Amino acid sequence: MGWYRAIKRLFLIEGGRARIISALNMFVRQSLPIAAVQVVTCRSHDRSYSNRDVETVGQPARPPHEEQWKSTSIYFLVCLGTVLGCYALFLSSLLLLRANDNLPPPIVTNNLCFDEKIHWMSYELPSTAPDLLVFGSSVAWRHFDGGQAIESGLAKNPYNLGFCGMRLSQTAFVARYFLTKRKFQFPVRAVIIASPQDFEGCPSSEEQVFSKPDADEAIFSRTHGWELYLKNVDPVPFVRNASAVKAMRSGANEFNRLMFTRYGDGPVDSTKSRDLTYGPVTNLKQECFVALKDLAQHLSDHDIQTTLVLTPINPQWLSMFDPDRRVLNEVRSRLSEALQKSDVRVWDASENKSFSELDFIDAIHLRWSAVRRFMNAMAGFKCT
Amino acid sequence: MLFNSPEFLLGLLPISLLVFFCFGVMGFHRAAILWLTGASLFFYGWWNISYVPLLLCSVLFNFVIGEKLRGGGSRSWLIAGVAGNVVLLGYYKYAGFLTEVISDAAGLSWTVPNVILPLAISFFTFQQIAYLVDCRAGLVKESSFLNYAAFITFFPHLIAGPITHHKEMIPQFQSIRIFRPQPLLLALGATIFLVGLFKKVAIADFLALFANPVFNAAANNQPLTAIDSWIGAFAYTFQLYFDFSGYSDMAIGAGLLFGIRLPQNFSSPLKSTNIVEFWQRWHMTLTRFITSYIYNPIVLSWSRWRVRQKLPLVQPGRTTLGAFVSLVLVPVMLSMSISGIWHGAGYQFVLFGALHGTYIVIYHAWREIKLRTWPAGSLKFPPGRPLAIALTLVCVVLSMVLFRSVSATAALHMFSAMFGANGIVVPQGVANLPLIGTVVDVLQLRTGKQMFLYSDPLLLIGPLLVLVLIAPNIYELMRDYETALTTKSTKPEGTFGRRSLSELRWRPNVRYSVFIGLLAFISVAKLMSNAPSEFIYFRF
Repeated sequence: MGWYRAIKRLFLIEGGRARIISALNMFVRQSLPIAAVQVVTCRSHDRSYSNRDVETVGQPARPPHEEQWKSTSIYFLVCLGTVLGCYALFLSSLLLLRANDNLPPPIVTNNLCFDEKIHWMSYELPSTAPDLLVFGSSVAWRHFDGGQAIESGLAKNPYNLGFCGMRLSQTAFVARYFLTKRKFQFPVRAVIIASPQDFEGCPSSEEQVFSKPDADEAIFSRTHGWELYLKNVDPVPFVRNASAVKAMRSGANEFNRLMFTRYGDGPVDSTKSRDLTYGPVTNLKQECFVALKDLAQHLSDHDIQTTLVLTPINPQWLSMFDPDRRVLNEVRSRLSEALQKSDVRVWDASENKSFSELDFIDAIHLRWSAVRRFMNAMAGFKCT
Repeated sequence: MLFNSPEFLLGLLPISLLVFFCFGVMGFHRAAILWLTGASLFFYGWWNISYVPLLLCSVLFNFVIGEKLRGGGSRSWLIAGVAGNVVLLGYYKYAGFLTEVISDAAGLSWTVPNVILPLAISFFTFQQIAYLVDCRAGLVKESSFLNYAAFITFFPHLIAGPITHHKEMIPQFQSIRIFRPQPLLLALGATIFLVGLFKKVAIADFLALFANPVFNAAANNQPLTAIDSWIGAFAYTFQLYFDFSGYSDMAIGAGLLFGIRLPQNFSSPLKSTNIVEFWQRWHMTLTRFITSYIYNPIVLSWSRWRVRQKLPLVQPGRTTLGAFVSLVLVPVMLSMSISGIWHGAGYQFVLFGALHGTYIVIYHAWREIKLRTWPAGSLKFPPGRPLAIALTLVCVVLSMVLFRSVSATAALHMFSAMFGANGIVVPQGVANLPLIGTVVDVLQLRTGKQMFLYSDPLLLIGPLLVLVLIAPNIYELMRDYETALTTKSTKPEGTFGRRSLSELRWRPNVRYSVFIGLLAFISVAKLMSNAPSEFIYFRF
């Protein structure tokens, strides 16, 4: 009872409660290597500790210290072994996928069609410097026929540097990157092919699409970017791409074909069409037009004659999403404003009557059979 | 520096741990604490070294005021100390916003000052305010500046919490047990850290791919369809859930590696059956702070005033309107608005807090109505629990729109899209399904293309929803061990295969080691990867 009264008195004097708890804490720390009893001071209104100053945590019986070290060491070793094993499994699966032609390209931009073209380029770089370079998005990649360009006298050695899915700010980045490379440094001419969709959503006038060292590694090294499989890992897209890339390469997936001509063009050789796919253009950005202006200036500074082509657009899309041509006129107006002080020639083929709905596979992409006419018209424009 | 950066994982963490234990084992305990503080300041300074002096000045200022208060300093010292912290936070975090508010209200064209927000200022300021209040209340006995500096700057909790109390931390820094490596704590800490890393790197960052385009479109005032905007809102809610809980896990795991236990900050909040429970499980240490230092003092003082005026207090089932307004509605709205504005400076954060305050008030009102209509326990409604969870989840998802939006205008645009202002467009593939096709026909809904390939976000969000609703969290799995302080543990429900989830227990054995190794492989591969975010462009 004496003890009880003493403790009670201690509780009542100022700071007594904290002293008891401090003493308990010291006792606990001294008695156990890992405290099984947690002692905390608390405010009366602190609900996380409400009605409990001493909290007991039930634990399984602890093995001796040496045993704990042993089991923990095994735990960490197995963990490390699993990580290394996973890497070994990953490398084996790369070899297996390669053997079955299901191996996706190494990740540079994490866009399958972009990365596939980069991978293709690492094997098919031009032997001599091209005299004509094509820049732009998928409409540049899909709508230019290098063979036809040679036939019609547009170029002697063209090379298509159009990559899918790019807006103008990204095209500007890609064009500048390739123009620093020896292989692509001195073209006579450049053609930029764009659709109204390419002028949407640019966050700035130049937008990085890939890491330049990664692109150097993937395109210009002798290893064709094999290291990138380990360096740039993104499992979900990788698995998805591995399941889809074979059909794209063989042409079985005809709308998303990943086949290339020797000039880097990407023909869509299908007789079928998909729906329009592209909705209304709602987000035209001034930064895209500034990107084009800056790119035009850059090309001009390097004495490269530049032509901007506004690609043909499916009449069905025009009647559905731009019946009064507000969008198209807005693009035209901003284009002429952006390029007024440059020597870029602009060919507006957006409403070219030579192309009917049947020539398109969606809102903006021409099928390969129509590209021939498109190239002839381009050659005609060049001669005027 | 971030926990999920290679420089932290391969540099600062192992080096600081090794040197700390070297000092500790050799018996240089003060040197070990000094090293830990130095490493924490390095961790902080990695972001911007010019703000390290600010942090140090704040620590020194509060320690000096704390010493005055401990020595019997008057209430004015406390007011000066709290005011100093509030002014610091106000200047760095709210100067721009306040200028904007005053400028808008008065129709002035003031230039909003561009003040850079120092990292973690909200966290270390709140911790130090709590310290000063506790000093004044006579609850602080520690007088070592080194331990105090280590408590405030300890890098595992410095950047994003948990918000700790001195009474939880300082006794641990004084304990000799932390200076020797403890095998079990190393295994526990590393496991919790790796689980958190996986949540952050492999899940949260992936979900951002679906949330960002939707919220960017809303910010650009683009017409979003209802399904797109709901997918974006759900994706963001899960992104934030895994991001924040992952970060909290990493903080607790890193702390355990040093033998220091931090309070739990997250406890499966999406399992909550009401909004009050949600706040008891989401950012638990912030809720604890708001409750202890804002809500409770307000309610206590107003309760005393009402008692003096002989006015009734809150009595379950018999609360008067006056008591409800003064002791529930006003304190809740005030506390939650402060909580909202603490998260960020902007109208959207004020609205976020106010919306949650409204939710909580509605919940209390409903509880009162329920008690009056159905005396305790007489209301039986079996599907009530899943319905309550679903309702709470939807309320949380709606509030997260405010949290993520760049402005209140963008949030309103998003809300209008979610409620069908731009129409409901059903993906063609979905509309072709037998039953859904009939519904689409009957309701005459439009069909067409959406922003995403729906298989991607739906196949991800669906399983994640199931996971967060039935799976035990890491603290429940490790409930046989001491992990975090103040763990809020519930018995896991549901089954995993033929086993009840409540039977699952973590042990440092081979099975869990392989599992954690797998998570580590995915996380490290993603972390070390230079791969840009996949841009989901499927039309080429």
